[in-house]
Amino acid sequence: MFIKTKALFLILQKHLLSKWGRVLLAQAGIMIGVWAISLTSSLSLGLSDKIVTAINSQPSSREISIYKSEKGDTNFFQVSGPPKFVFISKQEIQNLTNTVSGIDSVSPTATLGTFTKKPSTPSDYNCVDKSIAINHTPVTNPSNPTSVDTQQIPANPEDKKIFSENCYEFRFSSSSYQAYFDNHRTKLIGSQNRPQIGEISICYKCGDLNLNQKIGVNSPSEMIGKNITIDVNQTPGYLPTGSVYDTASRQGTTKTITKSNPITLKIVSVVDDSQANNNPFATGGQFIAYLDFSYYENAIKQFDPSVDLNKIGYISADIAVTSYDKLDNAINQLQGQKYLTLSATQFLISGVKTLFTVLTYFLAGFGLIVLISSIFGIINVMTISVLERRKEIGIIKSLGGNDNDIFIIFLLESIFLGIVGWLFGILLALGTGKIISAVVISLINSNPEWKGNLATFNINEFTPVFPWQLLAITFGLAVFFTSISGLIPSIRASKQNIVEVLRSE
Amino acid sequence: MAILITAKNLKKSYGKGKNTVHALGPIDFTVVEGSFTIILGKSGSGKSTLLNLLSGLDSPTDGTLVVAGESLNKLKSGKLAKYRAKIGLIFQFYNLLPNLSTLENVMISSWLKGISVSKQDATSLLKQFGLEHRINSNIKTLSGGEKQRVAICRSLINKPAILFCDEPTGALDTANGQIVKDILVKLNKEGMTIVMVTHNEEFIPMADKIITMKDGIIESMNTQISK
Ligand SMILES: Nc1ncnc2c1ncn2[C@@H]1O[C@H](COP(=O)(O)OP(=O)(O)OP(=O)(O)O)[C@@H](O)[C@H]1O
Ligand SMILES: [Mg+2]
Repeated sequence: MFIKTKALFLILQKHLLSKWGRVLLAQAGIMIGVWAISLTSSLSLGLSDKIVTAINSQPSSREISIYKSEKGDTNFFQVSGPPKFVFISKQEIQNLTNTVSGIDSVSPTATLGTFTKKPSTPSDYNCVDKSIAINHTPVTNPSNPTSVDTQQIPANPEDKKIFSENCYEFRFSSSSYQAYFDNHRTKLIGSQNRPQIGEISICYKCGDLNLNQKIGVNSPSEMIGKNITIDVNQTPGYLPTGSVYDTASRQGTTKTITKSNPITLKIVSVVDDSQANNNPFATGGQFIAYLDFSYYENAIKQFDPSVDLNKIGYISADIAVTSYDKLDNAINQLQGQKYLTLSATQFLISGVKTLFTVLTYFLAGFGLIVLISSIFGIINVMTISVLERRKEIGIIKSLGGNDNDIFIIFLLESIFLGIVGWLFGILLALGTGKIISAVVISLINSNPEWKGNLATFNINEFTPVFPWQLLAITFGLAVFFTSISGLIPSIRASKQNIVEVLRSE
Repeated sequence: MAILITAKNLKKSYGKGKNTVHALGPIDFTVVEGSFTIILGKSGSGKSTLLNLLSGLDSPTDGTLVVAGESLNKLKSGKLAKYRAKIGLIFQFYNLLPNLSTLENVMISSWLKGISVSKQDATSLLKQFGLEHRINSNIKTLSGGEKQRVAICRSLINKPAILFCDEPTGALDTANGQIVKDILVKLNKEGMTIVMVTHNEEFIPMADKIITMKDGIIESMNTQISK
């Protein structure tokens, strides 16, 4: 068997070498088809690769938010109807550090908060009497900020009015992210640590609050070390552990605090939001102020001194994994523990991947059409080859070769055309891909504005990628199409009558 | 001596219906092992048709044909290919494989039969036929006489039981025809059974049996005891 194969390959090899010009012509269709498929796919895969890496490189890519669905859903796409969430205890959230691998930090959500310009509820809430204005006097006793006197409230009614307009309160947001702060801390001016008790991280301008003017500073760095006195007017969203929160009714989780309890905090870090597009936190909702988690709990205590902090639950928790590559595994483990997970990164990346997969298939479809039309070319070439080699077929048969041997020689010949076409197609795609990426890069570099914009996303170094799957699929397609094209001519070759073909001179 | 070939009521026709050409038969004859048989006859008398049947290149339309114990009239194409692998065949126009060298032509003939052959064996065979200087030449560059000697080597490489030749000297000049003739006579002396179609009268004295064909049938058949 092996010896015979050696003979068939020798015949094939010598034939192909003697007819290499025609081989080159015959494989052209396959080459162009493979080229089209692999170039378009590699470009689109390369681009999606870059976008995915760009997303990964964002610090927030390490974040997962978890919820506990009443029905035990683990994926947001499974949730039918308005979700109902079970409040999770702080203990349970902290335990995740031990039960899920790759975790960097866990925290109940909500240590960020927003200022409200004019207290809306209750309507008789008197800012002048009960709330505290921004003030920038030095803290006399930092270890006990609440003892700071808040006697800036003017006695004069005219002054009172002015003061009232400058009166701000602090409201805990139930949808803010601790991990988000962590991920953006490098963009802070001042300390990059999470604020401790007595400290606050705050916006420089804070939108229409114009906080910097009220404090009387002209740059973010000047604001560091200044004090600000605030009053909490709303508890964060909380319910006892285990209770169910119906997102449809959206009631009963936050409570209004009517009793004033002003606190003075030292500004330790500032977000420069003086330019609208300058705020690194802008994409994550409004960053207004960030303070120690204990203030969150204190706010609850302030509303109801009898509450047992160990028994209150949280609607969600923020989890940060140590690096992006741990994300999928952590999500799987969390879902295994029946948590409903939400990862913007995973969502975004899977979206990008789906988009580009669809695009790749669409583009590859054109290449496929070229491949299919190349069938006719191969059939032609193979038929000519059979006719030309009739005598050779007769000789091989007269020496003891059978129909199968002839069939194999011709089928191998057409498959060889496929392999050559594939190889050239891939090489061509590699070459043209390189050229295209070089052109794109030089185009980007020629325009400083584009260059700057794309640099933020690391997309200026885009190159086409050729994963082994692409190589395997195109190889399979090329060989498939050439072998079905070669089938009929090969059968025809094998059925040649020896006497007749040997008579032909 | 043992009978190697038996043909009984052997017929071959080409085409169907009105277009049927009765190229051969009915004919009956036998060939003895180790003998030298030559087939004579005018052009179109059916000599090649007969030889094609004997060498398994074609199947008879009717009758029985037994060669070396194989009933060729019953064999299907696959078995017939196996039969062809056991015999030697020499054609008027050599029928060597293009693109291959002299040595490759000889070796591939063996490989196609599924038999391995050493380069030394093939080379020494070619040397015996005075082709040592042409071993690696492309077959296209050889002269007619050289080509026919390569074809003889090719047919001998697997030591066939019987050698069929269709006008082996027909395309050669006198000198080269003489060389080929001497080779075949020598092979027969060494015990090879040979059946040969020829127009070359010089072979007549060498033959054990002379079959003369006319219009597809045997016109005369002479057995020569002394040669
Ligand atoms: N494939 C075929 N189809 C139809 N007729 C054929 C075929 N092969 C041979 N014949 C016919 O059969 C007859 C015998 O042919 P064959 O080739 O055996 O003659 P030959 O004796 O070998 O002649 P030559 O000396 O010219 O080689 C001829 O009439 C020929 O035309
Ligand atoms: Mg003839």
